[in-house]
Amino acid sequence: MALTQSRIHWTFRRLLRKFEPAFYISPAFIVLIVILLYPLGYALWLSFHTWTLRTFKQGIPFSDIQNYTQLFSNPDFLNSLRITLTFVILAISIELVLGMGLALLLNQDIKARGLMRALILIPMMCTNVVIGLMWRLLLNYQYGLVNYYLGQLGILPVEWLSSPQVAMWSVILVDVWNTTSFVALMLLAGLQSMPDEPFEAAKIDGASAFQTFTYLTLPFLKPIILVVLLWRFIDTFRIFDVIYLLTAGGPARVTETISIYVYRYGFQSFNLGVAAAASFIMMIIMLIFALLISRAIGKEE
Amino acid sequence: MKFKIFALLAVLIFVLAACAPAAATAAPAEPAEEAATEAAPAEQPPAEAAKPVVVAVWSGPEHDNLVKVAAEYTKATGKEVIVEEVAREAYFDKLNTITATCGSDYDAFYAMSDFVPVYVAAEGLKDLNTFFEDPAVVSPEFTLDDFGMATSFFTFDGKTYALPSEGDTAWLWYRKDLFEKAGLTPPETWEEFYAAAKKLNDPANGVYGAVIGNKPDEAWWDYMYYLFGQGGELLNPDNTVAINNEAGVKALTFYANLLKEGLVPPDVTTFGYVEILETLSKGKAAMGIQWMAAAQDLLSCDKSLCDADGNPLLGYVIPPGIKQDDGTIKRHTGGSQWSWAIPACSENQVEAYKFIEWLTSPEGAKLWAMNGGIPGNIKALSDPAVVEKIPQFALLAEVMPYRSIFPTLTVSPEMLPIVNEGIVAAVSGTKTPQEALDEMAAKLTEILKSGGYVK
Amino acid sequence: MQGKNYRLIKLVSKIIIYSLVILAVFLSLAPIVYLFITGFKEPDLTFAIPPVWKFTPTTQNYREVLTTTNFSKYFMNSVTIALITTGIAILLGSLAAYGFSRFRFRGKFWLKMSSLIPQMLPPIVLVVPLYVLFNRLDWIDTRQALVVSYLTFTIPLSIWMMTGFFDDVPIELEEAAMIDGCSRFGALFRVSLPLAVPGMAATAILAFIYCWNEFLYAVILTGRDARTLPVIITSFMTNKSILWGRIAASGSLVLIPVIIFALLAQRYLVRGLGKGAVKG
Repeated sequence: MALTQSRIHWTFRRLLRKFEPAFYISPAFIVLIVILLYPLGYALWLSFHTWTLRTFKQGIPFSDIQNYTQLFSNPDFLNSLRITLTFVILAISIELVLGMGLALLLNQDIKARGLMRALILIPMMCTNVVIGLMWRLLLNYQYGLVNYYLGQLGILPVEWLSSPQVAMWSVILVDVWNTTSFVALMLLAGLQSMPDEPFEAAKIDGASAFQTFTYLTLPFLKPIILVVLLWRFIDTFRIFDVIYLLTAGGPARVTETISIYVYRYGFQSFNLGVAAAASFIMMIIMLIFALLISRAIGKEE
Repeated sequence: MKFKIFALLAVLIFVLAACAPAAATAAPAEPAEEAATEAAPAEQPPAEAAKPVVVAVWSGPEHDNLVKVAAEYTKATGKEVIVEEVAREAYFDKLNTITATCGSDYDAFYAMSDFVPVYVAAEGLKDLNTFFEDPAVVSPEFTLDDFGMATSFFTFDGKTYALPSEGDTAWLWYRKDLFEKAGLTPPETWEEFYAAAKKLNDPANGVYGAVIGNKPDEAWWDYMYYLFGQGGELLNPDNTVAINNEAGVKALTFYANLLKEGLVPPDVTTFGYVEILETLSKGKAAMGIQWMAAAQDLLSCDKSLCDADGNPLLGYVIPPGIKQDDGTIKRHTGGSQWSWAIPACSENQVEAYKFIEWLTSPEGAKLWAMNGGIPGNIKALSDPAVVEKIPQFALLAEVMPYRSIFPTLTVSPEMLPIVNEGIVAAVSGTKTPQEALDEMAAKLTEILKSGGYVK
Repeated sequence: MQGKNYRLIKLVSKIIIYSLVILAVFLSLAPIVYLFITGFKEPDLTFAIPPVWKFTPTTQNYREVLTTTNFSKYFMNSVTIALITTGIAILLGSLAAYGFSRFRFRGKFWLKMSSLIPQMLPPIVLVVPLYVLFNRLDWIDTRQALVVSYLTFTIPLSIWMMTGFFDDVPIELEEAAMIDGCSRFGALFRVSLPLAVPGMAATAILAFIYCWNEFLYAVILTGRDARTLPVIITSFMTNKSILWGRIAASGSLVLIPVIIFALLAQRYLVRGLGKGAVKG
């Protein structure tokens, strides 16, 4: 009798243990699924149909993968993909380097450290609309402060937003200004939670700052760096507001990232089937990248 | 540490709890309201129980104007009107969403002629003929003749879907002082325009010959005057593409040359209405084609240049045309047309109709004009008090017969970005005008085919 | 001899560090200060070249912003929405992150990946179906509609960020606590959670900022009742003009609560938390 009871008891406990992770994970996922089931399903369904504001009342024909193939054979769409990837790679590289530097700086023992940290965070906190408009004003060819002070230094005014060659760099500049502090914040939190002993040991062993950084700090920070990289990729890939307000994708479409393309050619004319297909293509690209990064994080474990 | 976490959580839960009753009361309130309006008879609600009419308009002078004018309506009739402002950046997106999903957020909205056809195709607009033909609703003085040819932009299959409001155009603004000094008269032909721009072009002293706007989403609205004025067209009467014909290529080449030869500021690829206004009012360009609405700013001495006696230095004329053999100038200019429409899924359509009818009546349109807008009602346009206040309306009346707007087709919203991108490509030099226009024509033909306008 | 060199190097490096920090602060803040100052200028002075730094400050822009819009109402909307969303997201996200960090189970990788999906889709494509959904629930122009919409990207943010931070908390501490008689949940609560607080603070800052600055959902899903602050700022960009003075003023006003929130939460980024635990 007692044996059976305890066997039931232990089976129950084993089951409980098997489902233990579910207790922690399910609340978040249940909420997400409940909210997103309809919107995601509907968007997916839209991508396989022809749905435009002009035609939907006459019918919503099934269009198989036409929306997708149409996009891939569209040179403008592919162009915007290329532009987006260029932008993302350049911007993130700069942000990682600067962010790491900033995090190391802020990790030092300096007076008013907390205040300095808070101040550097401010660019990240601005509303995108304000950032776009403010930089549009600052980078204005005729009235912008940047050109004015460059002029004071004897440098010719630069066509920041109106030259097809410079515009991409201007947009990168603004994004770097905006989000380097995010990278720094995350890396700083990581630096803060590093244990002291390995570093004290390294010091005793006479390791240089560079060695400590390369062989101790970086490996320890790797998981966080990868998460930051992933997150920045996803955010930067989808960037819209700031670029739209700065250049509206111009001049001559050189800064027309994929979000702007989808907005202009899918949403403004309300061709939801194509807009949905483009969005899912974007998602797949980001998913592939996320998979690569996650594999790298996973290896750590 | 633990206490702080607890405290934070407690605050959050408290806030959540505080807002939950608000959410709870909001939700049941709405269905109750819906039930009430369903129960009331559709045609004749008693005046006291009239729900407020919610009108959407985009941010800016039109919004400020509507608030004032709607207040007059409320004073006169005792009926409430709520003006809802929608940010300009998202205005069309929001309207598109509501039309596509049968939203009942608004009872009336400020509609642009480009979008009305596609909204009609989406069955998103209420057919106003049902009100015209209902003696209990329509006012006895109402007549569509008051709107002239503007009505045709909003009438499809014999049914009218919107009441015309602001119909505007652009003038050629020029610096009277510079022209006088150089002994020039304002240009009447495009050759004179080019000559004047070249002569008065003086970048070293901060004055360019002219100013244009080539912003990605606004390029057409600035270019159309140059296209039409030089005998070009966007579409032929049979809806085939005309913009890449000889006249069209010539016009775009002329336009692109202005930048190439440095006759306009180098950063015009970022210029839209706002930047052109800025350039003109600071006197940085000798000429520029700019919307009528800018008159207020360009002719005022606080915002723009005036001489010592307080006379504005900027003057305006009708944009140039083509000289004919008999010496007359053939003109063709552009513009835009706005209107007031009622969403098909609005739940307060009768009151909404009464409001927009009043708004576009001679009385309402006059109020609109006196507050700074452009009246769509011809009677209001020629009202002596209005003309006295805004003299340029007399010129507007003169220009109306040869003013074209962007074609009102169901595919218009799809066409516009294609047109814009072609103009931008030619002006910024990434493509030659011929290339840009041929590409544009090919894409436009595809779109027109899909809309059933061409075979 | 060595001592003097050492002190010299220390001094020089301290100077370099301070200069770099000040440079970083300057570059970060200069545009914001510019924004702030423009808010106090007469609107016509915005475009003045050479830039006018000596001018009589005016509160005209602030007054116009506060009176012509229902600013306080929209402010409260933004605050409530951001706080509630952040609270829920951190709660659910941290819980889920703990699960991902501490357990191994089948499908874990793909489950975690799937939480990124809402984050990967441009908001444009979700806004129409969300509108339809909320329309059916009569939740258009309500705050709960925005809270629900914002949860779709703040929960994944929390999950991903917090997993990384929980990974950094050594599992030995929990095991020690459990040996001492704690349940797993108790160990989480009493041992790991306090150590993960810097991460929670950082994540909370980010989530709050996302909600506070979000524009597209706010403008499409709300009207005069549930409108939030970013929508107001864009209403100063009209077809006929850009009201720079009001944009600067409202932009500055919108910035202040976020700065306060960040100042409050960043205090938890204290180093000492990690230190004492292992020794104790």
